[in-house]
Amino acid sequence: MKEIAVKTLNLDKSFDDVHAVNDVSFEIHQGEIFSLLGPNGAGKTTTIGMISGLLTPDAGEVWLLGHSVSSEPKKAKAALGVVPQEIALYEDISGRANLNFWGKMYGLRGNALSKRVDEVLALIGLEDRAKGVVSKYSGGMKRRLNVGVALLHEPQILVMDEPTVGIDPQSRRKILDSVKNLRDQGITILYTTHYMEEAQELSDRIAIMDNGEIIARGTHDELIDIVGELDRITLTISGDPVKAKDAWQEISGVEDVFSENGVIHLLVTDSNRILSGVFEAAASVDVHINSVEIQEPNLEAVFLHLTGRALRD
Amino acid sequence: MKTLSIAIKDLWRAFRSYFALAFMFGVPILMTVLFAFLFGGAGGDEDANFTLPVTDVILVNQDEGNPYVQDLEYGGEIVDSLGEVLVTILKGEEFADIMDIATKDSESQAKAEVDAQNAGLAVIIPPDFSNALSAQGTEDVNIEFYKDPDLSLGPQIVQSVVMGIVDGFSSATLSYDSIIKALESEGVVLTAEERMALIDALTQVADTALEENTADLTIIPPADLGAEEDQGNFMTTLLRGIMGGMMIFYAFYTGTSAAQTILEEEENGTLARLFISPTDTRTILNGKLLAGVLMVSVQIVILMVFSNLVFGIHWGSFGLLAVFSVGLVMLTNSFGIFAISLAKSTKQAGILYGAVLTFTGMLGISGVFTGGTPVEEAFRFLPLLVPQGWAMRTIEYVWSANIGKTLLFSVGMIAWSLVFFLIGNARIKRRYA
Repeated sequence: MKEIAVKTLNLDKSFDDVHAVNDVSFEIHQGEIFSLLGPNGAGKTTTIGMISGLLTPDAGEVWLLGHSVSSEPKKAKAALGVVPQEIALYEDISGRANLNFWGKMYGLRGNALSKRVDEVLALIGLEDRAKGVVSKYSGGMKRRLNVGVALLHEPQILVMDEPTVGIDPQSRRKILDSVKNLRDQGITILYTTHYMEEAQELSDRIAIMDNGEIIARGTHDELIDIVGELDRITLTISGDPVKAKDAWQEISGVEDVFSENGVIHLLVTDSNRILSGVFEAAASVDVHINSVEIQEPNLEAVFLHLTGRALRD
Repeated sequence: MKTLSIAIKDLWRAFRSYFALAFMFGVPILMTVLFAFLFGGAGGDEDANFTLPVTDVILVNQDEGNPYVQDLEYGGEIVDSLGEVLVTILKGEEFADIMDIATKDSESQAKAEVDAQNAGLAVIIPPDFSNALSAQGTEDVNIEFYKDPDLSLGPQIVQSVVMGIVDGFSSATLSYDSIIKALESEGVVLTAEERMALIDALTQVADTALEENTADLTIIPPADLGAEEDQGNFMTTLLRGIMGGMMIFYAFYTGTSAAQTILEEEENGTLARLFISPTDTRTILNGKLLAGVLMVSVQIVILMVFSNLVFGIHWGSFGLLAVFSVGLVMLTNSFGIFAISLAKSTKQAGILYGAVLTFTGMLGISGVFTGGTPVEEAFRFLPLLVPQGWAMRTIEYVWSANIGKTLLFSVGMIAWSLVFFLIGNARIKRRYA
């Protein structure tokens, strides 16, 4: 069993009347990619704020490599690299100057600093633009530098808060690949995202957050099991939805029927076999089907199943 | 080390900003250069070719004369009073570059000309002018100066010239009176010719004193500062006042700008990133403070050295200047911290820049521009309501080499600094706790 790199216990945080994080506990093992998946406002960034020591929890505690963030902040923070959601760089100086400065903030000096800056520039692919002022960088280059700053002191734990927001597919792919590479180097990664595909591709384990709480956690397969590996058929119709739902409930293999935001969802055992019966049943009650979407089990379905809402709502 | 790294980073960023450089060095120097050219020359050495503004002056000579000053030949004319001598001197070619003289018979006529802005100054020589000078010296000589309130520089210069001449008269007439009385006590009575010869000799003395006095003219004499100006050159004295005021005015912008980087970094996310690093809050804030201290220090040194080399401005003794500089650095940075602690965003801080700093800055250095105007007296005290005024007053005492008052007002600056720092620091620490 690998050692625990990150441990949170009963974290709680409120801002005025908003209960942002409610009793959040989890453990991340060394060398693991652990994703917090949830919609905007789920409490992911607040949780990361408390893990990184930026926010003080109203209750609960965080340990990084066994060091308490509240009582041993310097030791805990020294083990941690954080890639913030927003680009946090000095845009009026060069990429190299940024790395030099942030390296000093993590205690690097002299030759060790110069060597490490060169390594990070190579790692993020910015050697050729290192002397350029950051304000002249593209969005993707800034994102990569943003990641590079967090890697300077070779942290054992890396927290990445939605690092792919607002960038082009090519830069996104580079960042996802680099995350996997870092995991392969033994770095523990806490990754937050509201992109189901990213969590699915990267994560060893996933915690799904909603309204400040962790509502499910486990490996990808364990989470899929929550919805029982059912296919989802999503329909938009013209006609009486109550009659349609009643008709579809009668079809063998349809496990559940519910409507949300004007569309009807059917959870079925085998969508290919059932689909023709769905059309026939609709016709029998004078309901016209406008569109059909078939979805095999995924994290989106899990979230929908658990909350009744889509992940991107 | 981290404190220094943060300070150097902020310093580096500031010196890469054209906006910051303009406010730190460009505008103060430009303003001083503009004033230099406005008054006729940019050089500041002793032989500077400086052109004073020509002031239209109305003279009203009401002097009724004195038995000792009868049929006196002066400047190729026979005069019967010291008032006439004064008029003759002022009409001389040596003053043609600074005043254009006209005479009127009555005080009311002269004042009407000033009120109509046909003249900048009316000089009313009282009926007892010769008598007063002969008897008591200048203390009871009440020459009236009636000035156009819209003008300050020209009338002030003329007023100084007139008083310089009167001082010369005083020494001459007092000597004459003393000599006559001393001779009479010994039973010696001078003939009319002998008296004329004595007057001629003493007039030479008065002329010499006049030349010395006009060479020592200053535009803004600090009335109660005590010591004499260390440099006699009018131009450099003028520019020193302006550059001193500009330096103080813009040093406060620099101090506030340095503190404002806290808000900028908060909005850019770099402050949060600093807090996430193993760097404690105190180190971060100390780094910011050190950056401000270095920025204002560099600004002061460069402006002083530049203005010394280019304009020939002498800033006073090094020791007093060092005391003032320490006070100014502390005051500007603590004021910046205080001001920024009141703002929640750079947008709000911008309002501070635009309104509060400009208002307090202008009030603080207003004495530079109100000398010789009707509001001069009020503006001796109003600037002391704001920290910039204390800095301005301190540097004025440095210029006049008044050690006691320099130290006193420097302590005042430090007291302001402590108040600003304690309030600002407490508010900022509470915000980022």
